[in-house]
Amino acid sequence: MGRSLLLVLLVCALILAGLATVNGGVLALALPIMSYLLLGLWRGPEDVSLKIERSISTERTSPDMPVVIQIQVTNQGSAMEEAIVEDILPAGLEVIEGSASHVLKLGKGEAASWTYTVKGPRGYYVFASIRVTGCDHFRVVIRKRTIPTGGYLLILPVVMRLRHVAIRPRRTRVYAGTIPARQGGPGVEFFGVREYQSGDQTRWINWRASARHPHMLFSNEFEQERVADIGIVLDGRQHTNLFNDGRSLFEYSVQAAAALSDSFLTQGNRVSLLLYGHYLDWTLPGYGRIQRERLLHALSRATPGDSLVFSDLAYIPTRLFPAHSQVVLISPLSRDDLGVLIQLRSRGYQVMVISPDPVAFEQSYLPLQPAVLQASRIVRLERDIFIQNLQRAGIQVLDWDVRQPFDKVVQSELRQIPGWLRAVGR
Amino acid sequence: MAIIAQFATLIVGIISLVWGYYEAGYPLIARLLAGFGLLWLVTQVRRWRWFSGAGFLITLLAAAVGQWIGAAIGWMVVGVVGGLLSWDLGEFRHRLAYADEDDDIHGLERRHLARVTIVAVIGTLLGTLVMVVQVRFTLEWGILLGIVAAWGVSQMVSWIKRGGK
Repeated sequence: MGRSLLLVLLVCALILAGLATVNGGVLALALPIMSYLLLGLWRGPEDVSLKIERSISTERTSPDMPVVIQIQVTNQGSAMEEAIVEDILPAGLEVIEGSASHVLKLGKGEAASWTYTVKGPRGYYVFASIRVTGCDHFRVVIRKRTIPTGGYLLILPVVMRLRHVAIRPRRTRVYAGTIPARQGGPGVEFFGVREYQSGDQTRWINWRASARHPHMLFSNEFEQERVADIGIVLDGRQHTNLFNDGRSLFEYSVQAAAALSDSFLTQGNRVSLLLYGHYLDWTLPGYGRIQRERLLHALSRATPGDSLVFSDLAYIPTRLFPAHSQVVLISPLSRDDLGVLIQLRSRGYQVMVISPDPVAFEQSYLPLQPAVLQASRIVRLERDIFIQNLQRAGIQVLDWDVRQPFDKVVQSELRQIPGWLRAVGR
Repeated sequence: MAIIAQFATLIVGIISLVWGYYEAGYPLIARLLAGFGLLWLVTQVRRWRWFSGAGFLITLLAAAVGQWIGAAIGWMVVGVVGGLLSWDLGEFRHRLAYADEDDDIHGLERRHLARVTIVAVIGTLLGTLVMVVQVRFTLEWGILLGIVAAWGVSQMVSWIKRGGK
């Protein structure tokens, strides 16, 4: 119930009580309240007509970096004795300096401005509107208005620079790049020996092979290097990412996805991103800096969530990825994923799994009791067997203990293509 | 500044009610009201915002009952004014929580207290006037007041229905 309505009802009740009891004194009690009401009505604002402009010091930044927001308010309507102006902050942002709300006296045509500083975690934050409550000093006349304003803030995930991530998809694209194409031609790495053809450079001639065959010449052949199609699948399923007390591995997965996509794009590849969580968020494949921006935007918006449909990886829409291309799955993995991943591999995709280690992660914050240690040993064994099964199926797995920096782990584990993957036909 | 004014109006309002009841020969109710005033004071120190509204309603009820059972009208009017302003200042303090350090908080407080003072003066003057001028409340006067009150209430209701425009 509004204040003015309450006061009006009280005045009415006192008048009625005074009339009913024929007591002038009870009527007299209503007089101060009536004077209070009348003073409020007299000075109340007629309308709220404000011109509000918001400027944000930057539209994109890194997590926990301060961002200054300036608000400029101009009163284009009647005077307001009290105006509460609240900038409705998107959830997740934290004010570290100043205040998002102010109480002002705004005369007709008067202007006011202020700044405040926010910071926040990775995310896409939209500043939708500013709420204004104009009233008289007694708050008898209240005018509320929500004024839509533009502005957004993109807090991008931290991108680690990776030196080189070695991949070997079965099929590459036609453009020159850095991915071994499994085809002979101009390149750096030795691929094989073939009969000399006119046009071959003399330094390509394999003299040892030619010496064994007096009437023939043989040339060395090199492996072509081209760009490849790479599909990054970021597992956003809540049940694989979230642990006790709101702890989550998802931020690490996002960090890995950002670093890998940046590295692949820097190498000239065509990269796409599929966020697999409570819905499918698909970023179309593309090259270069614009694609890097698109992927970072998608990653900054990514949140974990659960869905009955996408509770396991069976519904990864493989048609989105070109045949025989490289698929990189970033997931802590769950027991049910083995069959799906083997199926993906059997369809001809070269599958790499980057798996933030949930066992080490959970163990890092649990007390070191014998029962916990025993349980972690059992779960560790299960996970090791799971990973071995994946590797036997020809899936490259990086088991990442998130206490180690991702770039260091990649540097040691993914710098070179493993020997078994170099074998013909794998 | 606002908190001092709030406590001052609360204490003055409660003391006048207590004195009015005590003078009219109801020491038990006076003691109860004094205890209630103390409780109200404590709740405001602990920032229980909702209690101000309840406190104002109770002071108004106490004043109406006091007037009905023969307590002096002046004390009752001052009690109502004290309760009303204490409630108002409690709400005002809550609104100031939205203000930033850079806002003109002192200016807002000063202007608000000036307005509150006007109400306090009007309320006290009316109380004094009612004490001094003892007009006989006849049936005809009651009917006239009833018609005026009905008209006033209808205007108020239509104003609220229009959203206060």
